[in-house]
Amino acid sequence: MTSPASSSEVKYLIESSEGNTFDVSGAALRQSNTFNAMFLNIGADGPIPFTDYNEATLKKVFEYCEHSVNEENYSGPKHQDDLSKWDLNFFNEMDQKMFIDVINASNFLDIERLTSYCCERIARMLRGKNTQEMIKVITLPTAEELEAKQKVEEKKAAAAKKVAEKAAETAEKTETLEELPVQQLVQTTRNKLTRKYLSFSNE
Amino acid sequence: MSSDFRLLRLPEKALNLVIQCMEYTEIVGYSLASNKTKETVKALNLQITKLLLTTEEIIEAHIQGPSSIAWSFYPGEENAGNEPIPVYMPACVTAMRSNVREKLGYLNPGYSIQKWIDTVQYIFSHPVIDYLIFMRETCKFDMNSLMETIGTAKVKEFLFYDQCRVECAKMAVRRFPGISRMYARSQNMVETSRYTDILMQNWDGLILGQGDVIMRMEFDNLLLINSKEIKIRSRDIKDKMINQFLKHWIRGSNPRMEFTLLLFPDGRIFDINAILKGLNFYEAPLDQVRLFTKPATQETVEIMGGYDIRRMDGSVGTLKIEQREEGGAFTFCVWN
Repeated sequence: MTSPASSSEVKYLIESSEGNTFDVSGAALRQSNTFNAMFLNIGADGPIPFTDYNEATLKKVFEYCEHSVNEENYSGPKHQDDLSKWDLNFFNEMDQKMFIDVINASNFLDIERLTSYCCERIARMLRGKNTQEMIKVITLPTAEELEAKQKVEEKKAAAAKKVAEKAAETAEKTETLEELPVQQLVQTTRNKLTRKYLSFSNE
Repeated sequence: MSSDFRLLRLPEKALNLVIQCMEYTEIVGYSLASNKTKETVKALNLQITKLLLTTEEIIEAHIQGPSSIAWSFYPGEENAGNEPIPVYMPACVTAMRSNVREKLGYLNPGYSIQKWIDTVQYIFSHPVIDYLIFMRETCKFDMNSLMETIGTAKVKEFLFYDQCRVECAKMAVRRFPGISRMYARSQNMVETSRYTDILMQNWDGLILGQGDVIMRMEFDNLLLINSKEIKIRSRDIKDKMINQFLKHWIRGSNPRMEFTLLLFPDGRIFDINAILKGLNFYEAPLDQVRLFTKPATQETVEIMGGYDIRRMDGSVGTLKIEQREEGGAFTFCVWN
């Protein structure tokens, strides 16, 4: 059942990437700015398709939204130490894959509170770490890896260029007057004559 | 989190939020990881207000802004031998926030001090070094090497601080010719007659003395100063000397001077009659407020009332005396 949201009792159907649907309250959904912009005023005819995200991720995201329905309006990131026990459990019980999926979904749905708490949590992982330690934690490519990658890309580009040049060369050779349509044939001949005339006049 | 957490694969908005949640110490460390991380931080348009470079036994870089941080660059064993020595490659680096006692210390992953400074300047879009600070009696580091460390960054101001001696200041002024402001706040530089050549350097801004550093100043040396903005803390400048200074100004001395502030630390009471003796002046009403922008620092000062005097070339200057808590203050500004 879907309808324009005017009361927190209204339920919306959400569709995941697996094609499964499930209910979310209007109050929880309204924490998503993306939802507000797309469906709040016009309503949705049928399930709302958030099909880039799987059911488990969406349920996790909306579990958070349902829980924070009654919290005061979001007013900037909260320090992790100030998070409630429920919030901490919510984050701690996620494995890394789920955590990243939740950030991505929360970012797409533009749920400010959840996105910022997730991001603050990542920043906290990096607290007190130097560059090398950060590279390890967040798997940044090292300078050597980047250099190697760049070399490979340069090689690839050079090879592609070579192939393209060869193809152009071949195309030029195989370009015969007979293969061209009449109009193009006339134009090509004119161009060639003009070039010839210009080269003579330059001499 | 396991080790395959790919931060750079986060959506742009989320990645920006992560960085905004970091401390500046971590942001700089993060931006040193790769060009991509550096560009990500730069795109956030984070700002600092000041960047300072200090030379003492070691070199430190300080930033001021939303977060004030000092990075100390510690050498390995190469920081010894006959001085001056070349600027070293840091073996380890500590970062300390001003309001937090604990230091974040780590081994330097092969970055020169220049690279650290360049990175800070780049990511915070702050192309200048606001203060180059000399704290030791003599500079421990070879000036050429120091110039290389600073690279192409424009240095705004010298700060000769703490124990810095006149010889060190003279050497620095000689070797860094493009710097337009100078601030002397060292007990070893109170005798201004020892560096009259520095006083005559056409500074945009010249500050002599602060706090318990109180300068010795003779009248002739006061006339030698050809800076646009002058601030001197001294007990030696008497009312009669100020009167003579103003008379010389009317006749054409100190032609570049636009603003002078003389501070007297011992609660001295001015004799306005002695200061104005023989001058043709106009006393502005006390409720007349004029705003003056200092030429070097661009700070605005409020001039309430005061005495206007006219120079022979027609320009007008206003002088004002105040009895402040910390002592007397004489202000003179020239209106353009």
